[in-house]
Amino acid sequence: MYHSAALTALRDSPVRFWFTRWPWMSLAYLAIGGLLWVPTLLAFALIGTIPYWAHALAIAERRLVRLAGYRPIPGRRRGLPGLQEPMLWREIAFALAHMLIGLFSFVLLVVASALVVAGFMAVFLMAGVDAPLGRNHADPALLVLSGAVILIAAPYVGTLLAYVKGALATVLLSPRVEELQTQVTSLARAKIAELDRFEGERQRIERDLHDGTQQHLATSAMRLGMLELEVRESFPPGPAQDSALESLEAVRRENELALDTLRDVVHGLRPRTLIDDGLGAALRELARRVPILATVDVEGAGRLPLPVESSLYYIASEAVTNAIKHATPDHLHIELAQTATRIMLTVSDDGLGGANSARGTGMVGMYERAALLSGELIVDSPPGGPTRIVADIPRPR
Amino acid sequence: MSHNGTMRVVIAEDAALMREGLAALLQRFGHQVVHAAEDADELLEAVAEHRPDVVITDVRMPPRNLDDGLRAALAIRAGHPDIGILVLSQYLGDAYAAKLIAEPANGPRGGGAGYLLKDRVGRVTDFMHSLDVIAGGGIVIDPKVVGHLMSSGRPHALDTLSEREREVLGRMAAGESNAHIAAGLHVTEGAVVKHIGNIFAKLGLQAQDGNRRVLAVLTYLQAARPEISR
Repeated sequence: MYHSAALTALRDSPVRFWFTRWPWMSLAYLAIGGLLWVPTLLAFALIGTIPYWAHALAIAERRLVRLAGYRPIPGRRRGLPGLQEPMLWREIAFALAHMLIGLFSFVLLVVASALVVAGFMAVFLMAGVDAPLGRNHADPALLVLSGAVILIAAPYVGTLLAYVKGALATVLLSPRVEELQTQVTSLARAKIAELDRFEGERQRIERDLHDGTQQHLATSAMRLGMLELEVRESFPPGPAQDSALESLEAVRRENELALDTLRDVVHGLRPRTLIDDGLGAALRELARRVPILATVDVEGAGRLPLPVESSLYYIASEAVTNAIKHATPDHLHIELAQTATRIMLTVSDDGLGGANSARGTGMVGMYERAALLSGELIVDSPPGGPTRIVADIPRPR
Repeated sequence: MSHNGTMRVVIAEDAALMREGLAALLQRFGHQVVHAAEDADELLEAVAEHRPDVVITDVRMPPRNLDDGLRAALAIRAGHPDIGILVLSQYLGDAYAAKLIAEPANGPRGGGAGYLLKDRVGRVTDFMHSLDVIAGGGIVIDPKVVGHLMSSGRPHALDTLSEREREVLGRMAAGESNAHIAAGLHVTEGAVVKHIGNIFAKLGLQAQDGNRRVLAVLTYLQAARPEISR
C-alpha cells in the first residue's frame, strides 16, 4: 500500500472528503497529466526523443505526485540516465503508462464534463427555460440524475485515479536500493575528498610553522646562547654583566615560551607519529602523554587512509582530553578494533561520567568527524560514570 | 672513548643559519666540525668518510622532508655503533626518541644517543654537557619530551624496584645488552631477563605499550637526571 494523504482523508471521512482540497488537487493532477499527454504522444511518434522526454516527464512527475497526496519522489543525481541504467528504462515505462492513463483520464474527464453540463441543461429545461441546444432526445430527468451522480462521484473517482497513477509513479520513478547504495558510496567518497582537502590544509599550515616560525625561533634561541657567551667575555664580572645576563635571560624565557606554545599547536595539528607510523603508534604515544594510567589495545596494524587515521586520532585525542579535564578517572583505555567492514575506536574511562555535547565544542567536533567518515559516535556516559565513547565507521574502500 | 677534549663532529641541518651557528658554537668550545651536511644523504656520506665521534642531526630534512634525519641517525646507529648521535627536533612526541634508543647497539656498549628540542642549543652550557654525555656513551632525552612520563600515575614507581632491579635498569639506560648486564653483575642472562620482567611489571608497562625497554629507560632517566629538567 502506498501512502497518500488524499486517500487517507478519503478513508477517514468519505463525506467530508468532498469538501477538502484533495478533489481539486487530484483533478489538477489529472488535468496536468492530460496536458502532458500531447507532447508524450509526439515524443513516441519521434522515436529518438523518447529518452529525453521520458526523463523530463519523470522530473516533473516526481514533484507533481504531491498533488495526489504523495510525498515527492527523491530524484537521482542530475543528468540523463545512461542506457545501461535501469532508471532510464523505468522512466520510459512510466512515460508509456502515462500515455495510456492520460488518454483514459482525458476521455473520462470529457465524458464526465459533458454529462454534468447536460444535467444542468436538463435542469434549466425542466424549469421551463428554452433548451439552448434545441431538441433533446434524452429524458431530462435521467440527464439530471446522471449529472448529479457524476458530480457527486467525480471527486472519488478522480482521487482514486490520481492515487493509482501516483502509486505507479512512485513505484517506477523511486530510486532503487542499489542505486541509493551507489549514491551513498559516492557521497562517502566526496566526504573523504573533503577531509583530504582539510588535511592538506593542516599539513600546509604545519609545514609553514615548522619551516618558518619554529626555525626562526630556534635559530634566535641559539643566537641568544652565543650572545650570552659574548656578554660573559666582553663584560667583566659585576653588576653590568649581571644586568645584561638578566635581560638576556628574560628574552630567552619569552623565546622558549613562544616555542613551547608553538610546539603544542603544531602537535595538535598533526602529530608526526601519525604520519610516520600510523594510528596505532600515535594512539600509544597519546596514552603515554596523559598524566594517568592509560592502556592501549590496537588490533590490525595495517595503515588506513591518512584522513581517516587523522580523524580517528582527533576523536581519540578529544575524548582523552575531555576525560582528563572533566571526569578525573584513574584509568583510561583506548581500543581500536577492525572487522572486514567496520572500524571501531573506543575510548573508555572510569571517571565521573556525564559527558555530553553541551560541554563545549570538543564533543561536537567529534560527532562531526565521525559523520564525515560516514560513521557515528556513540557516547555512553551516565552521571557517576563510567564513560564509553565509540566511533563506529565503515572501513574505507 | 675519552672525550674530555676535542670531539670530531658531523652536523646535518638544512637551515643555513642554524647550521652555521651550530658549527660556530661547537668550534668555540674547541670541537672540530669535520663536515656540515645539508641533507640526510650527505650526512650518511660524511659519516662514512670522516667517522666522527658524534653526529648532530635535525629530524626533518631533505630529500623527503619527512623524518629523513632520524632515519639516517638510526642507520648510523646500526652501522657505526660507536658513534654518538644527538638528534635535534621540533617534535614533542616521544616516539622518535623511543626509536633512537630502542635497542642497544651490538658490542659492550652502544654509542651514546640523545634527543633534544632544538632550542636547547641556546642553553649553551647544558647543551655542551649533553654532548659530552652522549660522546661518553650515555643517553640524554629532552625533559620536555619525556616530561609527561614523570607525571603519569606512577611517579614513585622507581621506588618500588629492588636494589638489584635498579642496578639492572641503570645498566639498561647506559645502553648495555642483556648479556653484558649479566656479565657485569655476575648472574645468568636468564636472571637478567627475569629482573627486567619485574621492572616492567612494577613500572606498569604493558607489552602493547611498544618498546618497554625504552619506556623503562625513559622513566629511569627522567628520575635520575633532574639536572637537565630545568
